[in-house]
Amino acid sequence: MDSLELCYMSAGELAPLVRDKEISPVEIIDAHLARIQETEPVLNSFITLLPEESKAAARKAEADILAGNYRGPLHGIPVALKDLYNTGGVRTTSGSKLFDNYIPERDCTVAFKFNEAGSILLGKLNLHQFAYGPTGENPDYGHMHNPWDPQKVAGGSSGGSGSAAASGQCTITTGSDTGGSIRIPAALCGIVGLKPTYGLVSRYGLTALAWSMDHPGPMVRTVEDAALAMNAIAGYDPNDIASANVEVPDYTSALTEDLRGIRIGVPKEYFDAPLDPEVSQAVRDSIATLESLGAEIREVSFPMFQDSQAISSAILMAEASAYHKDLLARDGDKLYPPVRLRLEAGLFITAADYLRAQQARTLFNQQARELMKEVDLLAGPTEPVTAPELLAGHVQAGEDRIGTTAALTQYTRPYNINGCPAISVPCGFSNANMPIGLQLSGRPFDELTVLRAAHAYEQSTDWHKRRPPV
Amino acid sequence: MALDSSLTYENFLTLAKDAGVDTGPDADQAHLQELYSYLKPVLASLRSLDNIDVSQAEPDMSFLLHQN
Repeated sequence: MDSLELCYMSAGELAPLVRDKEISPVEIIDAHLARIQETEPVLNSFITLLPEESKAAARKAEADILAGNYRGPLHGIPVALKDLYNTGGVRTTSGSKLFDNYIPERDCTVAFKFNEAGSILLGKLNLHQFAYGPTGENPDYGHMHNPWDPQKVAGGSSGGSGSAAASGQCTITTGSDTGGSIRIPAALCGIVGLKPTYGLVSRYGLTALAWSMDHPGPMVRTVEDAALAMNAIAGYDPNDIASANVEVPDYTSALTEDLRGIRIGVPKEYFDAPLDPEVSQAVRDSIATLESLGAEIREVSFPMFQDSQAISSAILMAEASAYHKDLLARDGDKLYPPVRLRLEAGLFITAADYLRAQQARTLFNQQARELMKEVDLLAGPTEPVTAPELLAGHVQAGEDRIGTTAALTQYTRPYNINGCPAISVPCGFSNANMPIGLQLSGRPFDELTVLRAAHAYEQSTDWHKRRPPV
Repeated sequence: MALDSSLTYENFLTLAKDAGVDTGPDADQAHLQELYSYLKPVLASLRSLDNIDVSQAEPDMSFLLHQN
């Protein structure tokens, strides 16, 4: 099989071929390493690549499968982790040279679970330093670039994950999402990014940004692969104080194409906010497609959406600064200046202000819960714009010129506040051929309905089949 | 006080020192000015929290989401 075709096959497509011994994990890994070698000079997705280790793991997977010890659909499938997921024996930098030589002794829970599923770690992915930014800027390891136009950002903070999955460098990647860091690069790079319910995927062994809003999750090219990844990594972990002891279903059971009986709310406030007309039209078209698939579409109102930036900022800044306070005092001058400024600014938020934001969060979540009694899902844009130019301080969203960070987190922050599952799925392209994302959010722990709607939409369109020019 | 958008540079230096930011004689003055310029609009943007009536709300307990 053609090497490039292997790189763009999903885990769902590769798995039966691996199981039936029609393709070897060695072929799969070799194809991806070649793809990385070809594209990495443009994209800069990886901080650490593991060519020899992944080849050795592929040979072992091949031998195991030939011996009849097939572990399941991720056996022999390439995985790469955002470089704030601790990996035993493999350095984990969190995107800062200050941790260039940090080698954890043990795997984080997600890495452990992927390993148990038989997947093969290709390497560690680039990120906005300490995950504190939505664009994918990193002077220590180089900025990340968008596969659809390398002059544009890949998004952040999980920018390397977005560019690697979109360009066929890796089949399954992971991100972490505190204000949108899975869904932002997913939308800007044209892939699927799932932020699971808070507590469903263990944070153990990940560098924190804001404890009460950090969500690990998969970034992949198809909704089916998001479900397969969730089957591997979701579940209770006593090592994570926030881990939820809930029943974990088979997420692939959601992959039907029938949306009858699903009620989807479209908050009118989402379309009153700064929004590029091309993005607006693509998202409205995608909602019409959902309706044509059997979903009932309702316009709803979510007034506290307008408070989400302030609530999220106060909580995120205070928690991030608390987490990094010692580092900031010791090595602040060695941080990327915008990250240093954000961390220092958080030191000025008082305990009373932080708790006021948490009180407001309670009201925000009450309003969201009330809304979700009327509907099963909320739909809207993931991003108000397509990928901005690298290092652009502002973007034009319709008639509004707004700060890039505020713009890119406009629609994603609400679901970090309430912890509900949210997915970004490709829903179109701009005239400049840049991807656009549709965001769907559901009730806590109802990933099945989120995946069901996203999969049905995906299968009725071909946006996910397009390949970037890189 | 920290959410006061009328924060003067002198008050900023006092708060910065209390927060652990280096404001001593050898501190990077250009960086302090940059932080001050960055901080003012950030804090001002958070003032909208004051307009939310939170009198009947306790702080959110995120870690209990799965028990709700």
